[in-house]
Amino acid sequence: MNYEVQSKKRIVWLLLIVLIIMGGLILRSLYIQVFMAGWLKEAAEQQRFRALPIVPRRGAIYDRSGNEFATSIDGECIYGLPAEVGIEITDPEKKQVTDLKDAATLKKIAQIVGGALAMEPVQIEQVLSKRASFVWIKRRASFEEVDKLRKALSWTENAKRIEIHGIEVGQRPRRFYPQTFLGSQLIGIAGIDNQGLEGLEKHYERNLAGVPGSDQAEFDTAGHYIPQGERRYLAPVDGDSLYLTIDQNIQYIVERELEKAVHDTGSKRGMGIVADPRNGEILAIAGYPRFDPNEYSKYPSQSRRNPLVTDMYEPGSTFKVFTAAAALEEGKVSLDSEFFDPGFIVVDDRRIKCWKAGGHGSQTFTEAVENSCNPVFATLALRLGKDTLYKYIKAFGFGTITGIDFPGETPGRLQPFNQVKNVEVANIGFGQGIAVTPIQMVMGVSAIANGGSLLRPYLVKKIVSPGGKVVLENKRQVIREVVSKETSEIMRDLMRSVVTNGSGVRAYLDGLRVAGKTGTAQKVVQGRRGYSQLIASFIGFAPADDPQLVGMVILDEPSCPVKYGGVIAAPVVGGIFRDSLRYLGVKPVFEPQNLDKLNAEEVIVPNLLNRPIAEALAILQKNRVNYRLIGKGSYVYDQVPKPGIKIKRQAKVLIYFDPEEKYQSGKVKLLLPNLQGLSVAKVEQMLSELGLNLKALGNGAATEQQPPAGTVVESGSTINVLFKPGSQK
Amino acid sequence: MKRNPHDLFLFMVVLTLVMIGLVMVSSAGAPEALKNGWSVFHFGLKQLLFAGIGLVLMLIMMKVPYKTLKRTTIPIAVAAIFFLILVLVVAEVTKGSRRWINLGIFPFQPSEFAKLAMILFLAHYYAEIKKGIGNFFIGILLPGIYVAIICLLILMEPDLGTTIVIFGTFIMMLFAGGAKLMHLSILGIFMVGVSFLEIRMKAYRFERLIAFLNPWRDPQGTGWQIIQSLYALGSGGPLGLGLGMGRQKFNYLPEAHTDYIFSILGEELGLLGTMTVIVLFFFLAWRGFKIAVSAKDAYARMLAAGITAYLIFQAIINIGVVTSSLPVTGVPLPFLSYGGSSLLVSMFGVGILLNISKSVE
Repeated sequence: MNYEVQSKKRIVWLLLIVLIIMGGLILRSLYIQVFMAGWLKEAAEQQRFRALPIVPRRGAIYDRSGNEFATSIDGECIYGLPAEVGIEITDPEKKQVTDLKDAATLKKIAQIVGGALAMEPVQIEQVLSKRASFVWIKRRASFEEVDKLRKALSWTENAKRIEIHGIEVGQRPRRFYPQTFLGSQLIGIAGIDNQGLEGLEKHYERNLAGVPGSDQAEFDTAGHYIPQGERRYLAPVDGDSLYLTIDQNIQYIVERELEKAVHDTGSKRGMGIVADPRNGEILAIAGYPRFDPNEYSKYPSQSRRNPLVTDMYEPGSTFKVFTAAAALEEGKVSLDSEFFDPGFIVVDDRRIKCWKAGGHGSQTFTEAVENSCNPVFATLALRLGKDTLYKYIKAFGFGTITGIDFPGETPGRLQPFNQVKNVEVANIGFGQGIAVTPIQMVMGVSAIANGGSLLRPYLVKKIVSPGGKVVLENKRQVIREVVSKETSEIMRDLMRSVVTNGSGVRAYLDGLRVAGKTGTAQKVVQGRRGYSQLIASFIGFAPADDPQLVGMVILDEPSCPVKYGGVIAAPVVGGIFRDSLRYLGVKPVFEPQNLDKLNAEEVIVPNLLNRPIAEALAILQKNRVNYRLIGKGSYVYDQVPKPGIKIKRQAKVLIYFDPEEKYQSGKVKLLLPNLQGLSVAKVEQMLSELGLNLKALGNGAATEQQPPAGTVVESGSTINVLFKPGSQK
Repeated sequence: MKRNPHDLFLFMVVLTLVMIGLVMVSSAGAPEALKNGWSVFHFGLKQLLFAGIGLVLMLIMMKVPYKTLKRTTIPIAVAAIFFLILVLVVAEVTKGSRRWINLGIFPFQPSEFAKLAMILFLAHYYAEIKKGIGNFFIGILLPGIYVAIICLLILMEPDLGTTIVIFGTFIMMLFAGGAKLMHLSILGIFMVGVSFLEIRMKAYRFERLIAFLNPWRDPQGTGWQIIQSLYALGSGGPLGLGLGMGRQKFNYLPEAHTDYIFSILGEELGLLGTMTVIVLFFFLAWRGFKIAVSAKDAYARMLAAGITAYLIFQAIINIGVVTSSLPVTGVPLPFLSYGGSSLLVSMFGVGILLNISKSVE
């Protein structure tokens, strides 16, 4: 039985081998199900889980008092669920439901959907054939499109109900700009996926965007939902909201004045900015032309930039304030320093001309600033020397970005230090041969106005989370001290007198103590200084003794006859300051002694029209009005300003003579001045000079007049004035 | 002659495996059933029907004295060849091969029948030649012709998995019968040589062989099933996701309720489930081989060893494949995988085993 034993032994051996192999399989299972389990499970889930994205609500953008500039509203969107796309035909008679999901059906669906949404059917077919559980068809659909689509998705044919499945309409937050044009370049735009593309929307993308959430579920390979699968919901985190330093009202005032100025002067574009010099907050910032961010694609990209931050220009005379401040700080000049301007200055072998042919002659430093005399500032720059001048230019922030919270800021351009010779120094002294940004200018002038501190400008006051927590708060940030308090105070007075007595007179506001500086720069076109294109600007602050606003207006390539900054830009800033200060509740101050002085300094333009030259000159001299005669002739043909307008005593009345020597008869239209507070005798004299008749009622000082001041009347009209005793000033 | 009771332990082990199979087939087959618009329990109920028939067959075979089977050896052996030829003629091509003859209530799989036929044939043959097994010509080559015919016919379907099972069972029976190790080595070298030629001839088999070594080389193609199987097992972890909570059966594992039922078991019942099944199969091996060793005569011994070897060999190959321990081959897991023929033949075989257990020394 040897063979049988052998066989039995073999069978025992077989069992042993099986035991070993089974043991091996148990170890293998243990390895897979315990040691590899972690990552296998993760990989398996990654393969099964599909996420439907949940778009977070983008944070809103408010102005400083909570007025909405950008907000998110629910918009309609259309998406597809490829696994479910098909046509279901219900036959009510046979109680039969047929599902069609073949390629021909898909084509048909694409045709129908494409027709309703005005999209290419091929494109829709492609999207719906993707191996995904979710696909976008149209991310932003209008209500009309949604309505049309809903109607197209089901119909009745041969008493059969036909429905298209797998095409869904959903809600998706989209960006809306309720203020449309207002502040558009500042706010910028967010794209179709709610991503910030330009402006603050781009700069604060990380805060505004929020974190997308997702609805995750498990799907099989065909894209069908697995019923017992896990469901994971990841709530989206909505974006933070921005509260700007911008004041909606001041922004509106700036844009209104800017629009008007650009149109009146025929400028290519305009820029305006108002800031608070005390803390660096930007209250308004605007370029013109503007755009509507709700329909941004309809506007040229040029109109979407914020040129005050991204564009540089040659500042011209406005830059002289920095030369003046530096010279004062360094003791290179004082208010009563005497200068003589022959109309040019020779630097090395170059002859640099003053803007005024013939020059300003003998003048004090104050007068030189008022006159904006180029040779004087060239002299100051040369006195400072290249090193010190550059030190101050850099200290005032030129050549570096201000650090404003806005994308695409340019640092401007300083000429390379080693290439700067005396001629360049002299030029920079009056604002030529340097490229700056408007925001740099405003922060530089803020430093002059606020006692000498260069501040970092900012547009966002605070960032608030959806829960109301303040995430970030911007505060006044001093970059460096540039000039002393004393220099600052002197500069305030100097710049005020530019407005009161000098080239900036058109920015003058009664009692609001506006200070400023005008500028008219030749535009550098393709590296060459062209004399045809100019940039007119005015930069100023108010009130001069306690600056609360710094404002600047730039008009690019004006096409009106007179293109001086003092003529076309200064009144715009004046208008902005007038309304902004009134809005901020800054009351005009008329100190008693000042009032007399102001009265004395003002004069009402007499009526010279049609008068013989001798008589006209006599009236002018009697009233101590400065004048300038234009043309030759015997009779006054026209005058600027018109009769009845109040002007500063320093200002000049332009008298034009009729080239054809014709005596002009007939009525002249003139503006009725304000007679309030004047004595009977004074009123009588004034009116007679204007060619008007007086009907006086009562005695004392004028209290009422009919018609009221500012009315346009014809010469020869009679004015009723009521006088009351005791009210004479 | 001593009359012993049936091996109740083996009976319980098999019944447990069948019941686990019923539950797992119901669970794993549900997505496939739903996809075809059938009842969730479509496969479970059908498997229950097969299990019922299988149980009846098993109980009958427990009563039928095994010796009477000797009379059927030749008819069954001839019938097996006949069916294998028939299937090549009449069967429709399903998933690239012709394996089933449609009998109306369920598709009949001749290759399953052939396994049994071969075991019956070899047991009878070796019981007759006894020591002759040590002779290469009489012991191996002569019965090898029959085995080779079966193998070739099955390869023509094609069905490599079943071929391997049949050839493996042949070798195990030779081993159990006491064939010379030298001869077995020659047979082994022959098998490796043939396999090598096969692999070289058909590129996809070579790819499959490579795939099990590094399934992530082609995760969307040849590596797909292995990766999905590992995902299922790994997702289950030690305790499983819970019965019916598996997700890999949703189209990820293409043969969830048949060849890859073990993966779903691992996903839903965890290591606890997989270890239980492996241990149950070991119990099956232990009782089966024990019955063989204590069998009264050579026929009973070879029959018991053959049936046990065939069941265990299939289990090892199946679990080896789904745990990425062996190259991918389509072999069902006895008692657990969905499939009428396999279940009926397996339970029929166990019936014979139990009958033999009655009359041990």
